[in-house]
Amino acid sequence: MNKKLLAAFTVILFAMAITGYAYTHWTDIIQIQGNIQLAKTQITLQAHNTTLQTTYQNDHTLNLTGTINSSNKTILTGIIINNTGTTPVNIQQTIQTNATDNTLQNQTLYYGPYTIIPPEKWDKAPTLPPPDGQTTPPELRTQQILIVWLNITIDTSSITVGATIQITVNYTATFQSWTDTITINYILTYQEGGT
Amino acid sequence: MKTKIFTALILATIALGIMGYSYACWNGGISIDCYCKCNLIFKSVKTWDNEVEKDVATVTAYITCDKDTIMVTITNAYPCYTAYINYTIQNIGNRPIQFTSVTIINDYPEALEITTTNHTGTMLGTCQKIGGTTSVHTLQPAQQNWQYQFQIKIAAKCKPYAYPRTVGFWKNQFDKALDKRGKPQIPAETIEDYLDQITEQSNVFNFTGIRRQKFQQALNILEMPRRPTMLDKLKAQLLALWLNYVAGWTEGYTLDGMTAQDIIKGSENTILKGLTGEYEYWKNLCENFNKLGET
Repeated sequence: MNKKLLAAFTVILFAMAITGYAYTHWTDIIQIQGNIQLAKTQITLQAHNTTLQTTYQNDHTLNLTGTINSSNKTILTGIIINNTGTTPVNIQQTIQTNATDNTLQNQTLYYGPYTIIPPEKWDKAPTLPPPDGQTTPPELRTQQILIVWLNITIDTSSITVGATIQITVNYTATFQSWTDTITINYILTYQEGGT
Repeated sequence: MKTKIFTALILATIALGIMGYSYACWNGGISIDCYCKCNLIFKSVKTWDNEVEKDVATVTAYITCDKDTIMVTITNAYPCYTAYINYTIQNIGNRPIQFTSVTIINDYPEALEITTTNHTGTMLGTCQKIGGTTSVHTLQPAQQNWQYQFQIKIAAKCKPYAYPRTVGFWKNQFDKALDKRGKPQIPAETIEDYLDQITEQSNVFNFTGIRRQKFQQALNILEMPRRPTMLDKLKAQLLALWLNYVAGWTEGYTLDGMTAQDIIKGSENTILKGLTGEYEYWKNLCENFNKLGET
């Protein structure tokens, strides 16, 4: 009985080996393997420059607060936007406020794109806003920076004392359908005073 | 006692086998040259993409050392980006092969749309090449800063043992199909289908009537008159070549750089134009092609 089992086992072993060997020589598989790394659209707020008080700040949000009066009704804010993603981006600005129409006037000037911050456009500017600004933002490639100076003027004639004006300024970077946004929130309180 | 000897013999065989294999591995591996070897390789690969103005993403590809894999790397991809991979496959085995399947393994259909040339059913003769294209399209829902993978498996098998047959073989088939001396190797329905295909495609042969009549017409051509002319001989060899061709038994075979189709076309042109001086040349080509399976 053992002999029969052994013989059967041996035959099966040989048959399987031959089958496997034959099969590998009668078929072949070739393949294409792919690995795809997706890009990233991202801008970050690298620095800011303002006389207002900063109450909160991270890479994408800046909260500022301060007071205005009839003689001090202009707010100048400088920010540096850094393209920290891996795609080029186009920047678009939007401004929203709770103030009534025509209360706000704004002028935004863009400087760049740069790879290193030019001091004459930032902390050592001869005048603010610095000269030679562009009114439309340029395309920002990866690792490039954009300096933005935003000048907001508020018409205080129709504002009551103690009223609070909220302004939200968004800078949205777009590449294809991907976006990333930096938000600056202003809370301004109108105080009596000034001329 | 016999069992013990038998067991010892098997163990000794296995031990010797392992020793031999190990020795061979240390000396450059084992190469077994079997009669039928199915072996496909990637011969070349090229890439490009749909970017025109901006160069944001990149696609690169290379063939691995064993030549059976193309590694594709796409970096910095984004929605709407499409990478294309052009490749060439070569049959370096010693038999014609037939592609049996092309399988795309894409676990992220929401993010990637992958298309590739479907080679299924295509034959490839020895040393012959075939090209294909794979495209990888990144879709809108693809996630930023994410990694995706895909795989395409192209399977092939050695073509079943089929080779051109001689005039004698085909005569024998018609003889048997006409109830003479036994059963044909090819079913009568199949042979009739072959003749119908030839009638449809050929400018020389035209088989009409019921099955028996068609078979008799074919047999008459193959058997030739008692004193055949060169045209009779050419027609007999040409019909055999036609039969081999429609049976799919000429695929992967060439003679003097010509395929069966080339020789059929040349022979028919010669007959139609009445180029009697070339009958023998084309007859010999047909005959030699029909004998390729004997070598």
